[in-house]
Amino acid sequence: MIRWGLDGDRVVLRIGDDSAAVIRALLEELTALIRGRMRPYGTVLTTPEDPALARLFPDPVRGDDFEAIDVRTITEPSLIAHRLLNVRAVLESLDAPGPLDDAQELAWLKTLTDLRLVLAVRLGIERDGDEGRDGTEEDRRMRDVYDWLGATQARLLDVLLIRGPVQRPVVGPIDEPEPDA
Amino acid sequence: MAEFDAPLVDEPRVDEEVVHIPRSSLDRPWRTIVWNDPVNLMQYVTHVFQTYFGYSREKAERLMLQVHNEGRAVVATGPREDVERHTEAMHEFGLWATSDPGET
Repeated sequence: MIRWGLDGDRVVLRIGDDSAAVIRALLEELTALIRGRMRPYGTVLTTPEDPALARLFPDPVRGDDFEAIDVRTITEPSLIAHRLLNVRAVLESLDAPGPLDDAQELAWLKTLTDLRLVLAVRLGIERDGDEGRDGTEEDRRMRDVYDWLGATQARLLDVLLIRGPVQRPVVGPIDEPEPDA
Repeated sequence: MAEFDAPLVDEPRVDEEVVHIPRSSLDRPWRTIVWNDPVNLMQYVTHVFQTYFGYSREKAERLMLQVHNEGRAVVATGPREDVERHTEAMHEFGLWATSDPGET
């Protein structure tokens, strides 16, 4: 069970041990998937063969394959780093549930999305209305997790809507002038 | 997009504003296009458009519905570098987006 609340303008995470264990296991799989895509610096990057990776890292330019490869080669490594940092932020919040900082809040939103994108590909959910495969016990378990993650994200979005946009005050002057000698 | 029941809360008011991308007279405007997918929740897509681009709730919902109903929507236009940056940001959010050189 995951419950989202508000403490002032901070989103608060409450999570049971079982749910935390499920999320940790999913994040381990996601991390392995993403890490498996890492290439040595300077490698020319083309569309991943694994459709789940192709969905996490889509072709960035339409209608120009060479340009798409060029842009992907530049941007994909930072997208990989971004996703892994999000996973780390979510893991940190699992270690110490409670009020989330801004980075953790955003990391939860994005990582719940990443997990659902990967599960949807594995389930064969390709178009609006697709129910996905349910032939095996594993398929049905995956589908339950997919729906649970969706409901969890929807409740987080409800909380964010209730809270509204947040403008954090800058604490103290950024460039404090040196006091006169 | 996937649908969930709309939350029963008043939506916060946000000043109507759009991302203004200055155009170089030398650059043909490029476009960031977001494509429909069966996974992302409608309220998530709206949230992304609202928070990342700073669009009003109304404009963000209009764009989200355009993606949902028509399969795609142009969410930003401008010089190529800016558009490619926006497309990368959409990928960070897990939206299916492409940069497009626009009409000739």
